[in-house]
Amino acid sequence: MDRLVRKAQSGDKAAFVRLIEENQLTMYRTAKAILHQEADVEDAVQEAICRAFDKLCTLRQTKFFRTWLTRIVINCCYDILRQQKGLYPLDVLPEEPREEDMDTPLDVQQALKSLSENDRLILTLFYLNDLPVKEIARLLSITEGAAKMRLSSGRKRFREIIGAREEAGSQWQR
Amino acid sequence: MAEMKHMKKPDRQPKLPREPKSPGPRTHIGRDRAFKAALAKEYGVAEVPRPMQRRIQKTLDSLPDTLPVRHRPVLRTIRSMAAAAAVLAVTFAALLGINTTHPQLTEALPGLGSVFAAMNGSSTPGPMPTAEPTPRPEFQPVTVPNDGDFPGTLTIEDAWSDGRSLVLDMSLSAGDDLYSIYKQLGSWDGISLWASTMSTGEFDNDYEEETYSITVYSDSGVLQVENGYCPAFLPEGDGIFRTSWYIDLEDLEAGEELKVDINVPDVLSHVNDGGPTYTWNPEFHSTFSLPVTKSKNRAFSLQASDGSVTLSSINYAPSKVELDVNLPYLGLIEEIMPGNGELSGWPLGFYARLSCLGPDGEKFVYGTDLGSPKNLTDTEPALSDRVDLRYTFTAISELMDPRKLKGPLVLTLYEFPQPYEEGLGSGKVTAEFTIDLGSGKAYPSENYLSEGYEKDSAPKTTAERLSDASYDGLLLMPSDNSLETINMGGDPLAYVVISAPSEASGRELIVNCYLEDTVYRSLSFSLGGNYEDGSDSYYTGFRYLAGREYLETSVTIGYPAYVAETMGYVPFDRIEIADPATGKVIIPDLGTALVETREKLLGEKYKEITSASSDAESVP
Repeated sequence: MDRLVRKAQSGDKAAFVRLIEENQLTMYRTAKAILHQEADVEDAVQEAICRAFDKLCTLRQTKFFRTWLTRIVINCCYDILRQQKGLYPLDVLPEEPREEDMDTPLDVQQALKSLSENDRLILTLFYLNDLPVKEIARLLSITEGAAKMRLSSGRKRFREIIGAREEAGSQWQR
Repeated sequence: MAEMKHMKKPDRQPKLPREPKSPGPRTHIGRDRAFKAALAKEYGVAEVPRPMQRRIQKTLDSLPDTLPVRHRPVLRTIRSMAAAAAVLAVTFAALLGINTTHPQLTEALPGLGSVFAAMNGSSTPGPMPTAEPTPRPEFQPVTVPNDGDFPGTLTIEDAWSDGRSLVLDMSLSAGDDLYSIYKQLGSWDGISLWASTMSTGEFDNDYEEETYSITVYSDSGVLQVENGYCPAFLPEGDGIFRTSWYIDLEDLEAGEELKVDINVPDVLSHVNDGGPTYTWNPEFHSTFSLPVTKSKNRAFSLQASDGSVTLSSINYAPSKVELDVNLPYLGLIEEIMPGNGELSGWPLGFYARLSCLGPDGEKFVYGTDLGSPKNLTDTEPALSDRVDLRYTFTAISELMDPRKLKGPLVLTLYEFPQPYEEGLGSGKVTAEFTIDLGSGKAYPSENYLSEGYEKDSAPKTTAERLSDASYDGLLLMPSDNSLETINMGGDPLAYVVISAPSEASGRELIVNCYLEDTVYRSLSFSLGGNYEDGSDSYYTGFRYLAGREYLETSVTIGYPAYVAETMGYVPFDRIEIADPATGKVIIPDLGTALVETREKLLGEKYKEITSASSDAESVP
């Protein structure tokens, strides 16, 4: 990927297009972890692509391209949230309402809703986007120790919630 | 490889998470692979939806034809210096010609005359230019004044450069505040000091921000350091905290003077993970100079071969080592291990590890934090083409001075990426070289044998491995499947992803689930199709593997209600895939097939996991 980044930085649009195609799942997952409505996710990813196009020449270390791109996506998501809802501290962002699930007990649904945005974002970055802890810490401006702690606790919370749903006997949700 | 172009991928590319190293106990979300699948499914992000893909494509199409380009003053300076150097080289070559026919003219040149005189063996030789200037005294530690409120001192204990990196060894001494923390904890362990402070974000959230700055001035230009390796100060005991910071440099000349300006305006301490945070504002600032010393640097041309691999050259500096290698292109790791993050760009069959001995004789393994090797051939290779790769390793270590490392160097090329711990890796070794920096020679060696590895001198390409691992054209990719999700013992009963070349689209298959040799549940499906009915479903995505388009059909089978009511939720004995038209069994047991596939594709042998073993978490 380093070579593609350098080619793109020298002006090669085809290289930039390849970079975006190879990272589109990463971008989508990151935006979906913060914004839940598909229309907002599409807007954020589109804006992030445009910003990345304009600012790629400012990236000094090509090896951090994916982290840099992820940061842009996160900033675009925050901008959308701010436009829609005003200023919100990240850890109290309201969850988007899930589709009504008649088979899952209400208390489990509530537990799922309470899985904080911070958990979802950091779990997405580590488990789904395969970013190393060091870069996640850099991305979220926290220490590596704090990142590891949040990953451990977020994973534990997720497992508890899904385990509770399994015990409640509801069907596996797609 | 970072430098190798990927084959163009289709718009649809479901990427399911990677496979864990070994199977674990049968729980729904007991292991990384199952946890990732659960996470992706719960968040609805297993693949990029078609509308999103279309929006991305539309956005890319609407962008201008070229990206903005920033011209870098340092690079421009280096380029103009390189042009000047080229002119000087041409001039000197011309003078050499004149010296042959008219030595008296060249010996009379001001400045250069003594050089030609010495070359010609004349009676009045002048002093020869030396390769390195007169050795400078060792770096004298610098105590940095504290203009703020930090109750301690910063000392630049040592600073050195081998032309490839600048290394700063520093220490912070504890003052009263830290001693009181130490007394509460009873130990210095768990306390770390960082060159950062707490800031408030736009959402009123607190976050940690690095505030140090380092500027390096040299004859080549000015480097404002960003993203250097600048880790925390860690306790050494007795109230002293130490760190080593590494700053990447362009290849600077020996003897070049570096002026370093370092600012550390803030210090922040962490007390254990999640413990209290303390901040100070010491406003540390210092400027000092040091020379670039390349006395330990070496560059050799080597022509050593081991099997299909030829080691061409080495460019050695204590902080960084580059090795040029010629080898056959077998494909990329990601083509058989998709979603492997940083390792995806590595060439299959040639994951490299470089090691030598530390000052106490212990083994030191170089870092690969600069990523996968660079393709020097600048063309997109086909499978089995020969390619020239440059591997770069770093000797960043918080525990040891790289200048004290001892040769020889050992370069080992593995079939697959290896974990840091020795002896826990999978697969075989494809080549190994021992490099003697003293003599400039390299030769094949077999140190890997003592670590339990076998040799594979004829590793297969990705296409060959995928073919070997398939069952009548069907593949169970380890990156998409796990023993836990294939046979869950709950609801759903099974989740399996079948991959096949796209030409197989439309092929009819049936999954039969057995308890005590009786089929209690079946599901017919069509490769390439999409379907959902209650707890049964299958849907298809596409990806490229080894240059060929594959479809992936993910099949979910609901647990039979009558079994649940009579026997409860139990793992089934066997799940097979067969041809519904002929009854021919294609894969008799999905679990066994997955184990076999892991071994064929990844070289991993299945280990029995007892109920007492814990999940192999990759997060500590």
